[in-house]
Amino acid sequence: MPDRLTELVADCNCLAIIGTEKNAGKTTVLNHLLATDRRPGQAITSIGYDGENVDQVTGTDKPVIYVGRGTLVATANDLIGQCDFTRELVRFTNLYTPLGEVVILRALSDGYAQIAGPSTTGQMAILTRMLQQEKAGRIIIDGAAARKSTAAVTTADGCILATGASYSPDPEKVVEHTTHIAALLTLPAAKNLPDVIKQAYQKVENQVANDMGARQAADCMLVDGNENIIITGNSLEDSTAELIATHSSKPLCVYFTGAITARLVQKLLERSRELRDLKLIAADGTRFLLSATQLSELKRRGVQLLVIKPVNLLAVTVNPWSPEGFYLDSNSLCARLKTVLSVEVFDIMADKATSKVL
Amino acid sequence: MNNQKPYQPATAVTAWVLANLNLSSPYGRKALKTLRPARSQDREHLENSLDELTVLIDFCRQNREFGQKAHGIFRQLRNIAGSVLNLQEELVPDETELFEIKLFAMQLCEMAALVNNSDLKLTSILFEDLKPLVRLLNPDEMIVSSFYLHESYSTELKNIRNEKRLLENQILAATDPHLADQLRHQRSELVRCEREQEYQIRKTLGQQLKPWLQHLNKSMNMFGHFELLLAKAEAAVTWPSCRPRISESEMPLQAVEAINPQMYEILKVQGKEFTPVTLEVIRGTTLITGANMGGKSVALMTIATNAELVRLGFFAFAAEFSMPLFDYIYLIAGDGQNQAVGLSSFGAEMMQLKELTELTRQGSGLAVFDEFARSTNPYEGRRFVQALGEFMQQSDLHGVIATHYDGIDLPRAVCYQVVGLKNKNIILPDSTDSRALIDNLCANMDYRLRKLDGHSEVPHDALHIATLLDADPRFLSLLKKLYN
Repeated sequence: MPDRLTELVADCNCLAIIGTEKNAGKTTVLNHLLATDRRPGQAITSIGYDGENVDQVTGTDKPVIYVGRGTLVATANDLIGQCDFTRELVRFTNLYTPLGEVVILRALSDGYAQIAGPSTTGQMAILTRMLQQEKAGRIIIDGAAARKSTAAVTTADGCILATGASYSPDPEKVVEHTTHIAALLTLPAAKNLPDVIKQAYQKVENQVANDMGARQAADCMLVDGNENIIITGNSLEDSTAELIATHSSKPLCVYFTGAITARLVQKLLERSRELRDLKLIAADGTRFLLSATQLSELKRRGVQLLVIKPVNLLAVTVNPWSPEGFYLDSNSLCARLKTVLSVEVFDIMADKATSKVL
Repeated sequence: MNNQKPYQPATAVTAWVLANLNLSSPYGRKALKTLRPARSQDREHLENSLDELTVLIDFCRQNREFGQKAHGIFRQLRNIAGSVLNLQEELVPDETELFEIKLFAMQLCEMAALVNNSDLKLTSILFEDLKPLVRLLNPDEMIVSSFYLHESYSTELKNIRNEKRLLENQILAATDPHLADQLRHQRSELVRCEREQEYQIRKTLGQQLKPWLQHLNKSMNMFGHFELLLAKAEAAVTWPSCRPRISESEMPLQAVEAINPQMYEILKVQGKEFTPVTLEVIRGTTLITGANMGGKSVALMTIATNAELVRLGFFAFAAEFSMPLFDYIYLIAGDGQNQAVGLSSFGAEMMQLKELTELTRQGSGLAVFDEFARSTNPYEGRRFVQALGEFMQQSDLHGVIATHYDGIDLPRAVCYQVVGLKNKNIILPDSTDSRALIDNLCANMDYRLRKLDGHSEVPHDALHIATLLDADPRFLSLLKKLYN
């Protein structure tokens, strides 16, 4: 029987599950959705390598992914042997990971899957297109921590954020951190975007389809109130913060083709007081690599943080268990999160439907 | 075999043509990598491949969509050499290897059908019949482009999978976590049995594939050969071209309206036209003189490139083209300076000349010299060119030299001159922008070559050209004083 979370994401054609941290329960959410909604022709893949038996970072047990028959699984060649469902090899993708080429499989039985998908936005876009050509009903991307999930949220039209005790034994810290990540993810779309920025965005988006690796020297663009480019700069250089500070006395939009880093923002905050006329723009919320303090300080000084493609955050899920073995009170954690977040909050560990597949 | 170095083209334009061939499959690219120029003793072989190319070019001109369909197949091809090698070494194939071999066999059948259902008849293009191989890897009635270890390979596998499926249904329906755990445990035992069975099937398939390996190897080469031939045909259709005539070794190279495809494309983008080169290079020495910026280098490059492409089995990019089948083509363009090894451009020329004389012992060749000894003093440079001309007349070389030096005296040489500036009183354009100046000059230059009756003559146009390029007036007035 479908539960509320399953219903909430049912209409999503491409869903990304991302986490605030490792062990935030992404895979549990994925398994939950696969178990409660066994629609035919569902497709799953991941950003990079996840779904391992033992978490490669913390050495803790991780749930493996259990797929239903008929599911399309896009995974790396070296992991096919570790998938235990009876399978049909549907298509080669020519997309390569450290574990070999990504191959699209169709599960002919239920079974456990090991998934390693592509890790760049361009490759993920190609893969989802191929999955659609293979008549995938719905695509679920098992993402990574939010800041590493650009490829997932860019491709997906909906997103679940998984959070939990793995971040901190202090529930207040978990709430604070989750709120911060959710705030970044749901940064509002920029209205009346200057044409020069639109063009630069299109150019970058088209480029990533071929290659994401080659970073251009200039990855940020300062645009004045008349929509003219004042200058371009490299966000990794401190002088760029200087440039932004110098020009921010008048209306100024700064567009970043890549990420807005904590260092750049720190330098910017050190060099200026009033930033009332400044807008910082990036493709989506995963590109803002800021701390909660920086975010609130920027807002206090009047900076507007805007995105071109807003993330459609559908729900937040909570995993009260930490990998070290302690447990937070799920009810109060969920209740606290509900008061500060504008999306629905679920503890899927408490949901009986999950226990079947674990 | 993959470590073989690709052929190093003698001219940059040949390299450009090869790099721009439409080759999308790993086999076509490998065929290009193993492409070698024909030598004088390969004449029959070259004529045969030109026969094939002629047929294909005619066919492509009439069937434009054929190339697109063929490229559609070439683009999908994966390199299965690794899988074939593993099978040769009797390794048990994994599912991906079987899958890619099946796809390859299907793609070959598709190509065979495309060719056989057309009117194209080529003796060198013969596809193996891989249908039985496809059926081996696709035991179902319906041929599909996916692969799986089918139940029909083994009854035991079928039973295991059925049993597993029932268990999976039970797991799905189980509400008691304990029971579910137990069922999952049973399932993992069945998974182990299934894997064991699948391994046996893969092993058997590996053995059954053995007799097919030579056919697969042949087919990979056939794909490569065909794609390269098609790419050559498309190049011939893209630019003006003709079937080259291969003549006896003492005959001259004769080019009528030859073009340089790279320059042709560059000019096309600028809305200009390439002036075709008509030239005869005799055995012995042919001299080209002409104004600066008169296109001497382009003419030389055009001839050398076409001669090289003919040796590589291409049509010549010309209205008519005939040449003896040279054993080598050597280009000395005076730009070989390499300060890293301590060579000036003059030093490099001397080293290259030494290399060329080595080659003359190995057969007949075409040697092309662009402004030989240009960077030394004119007093000695002229003597170098004179000696080179005599040297080539004594060797069995077809040599062509473009030079600025006056007074070269070679009684048996054929001499050409760039027609040059059409009008000696050209007005400077209004704009002094360098692009406009060059365009103006080009528009007034007649790049055609004129055959001279007697000795070579060197036109004195440098001052004129400098004026047209709007050289500094103070400099020009100093220069003019010296002319008076």
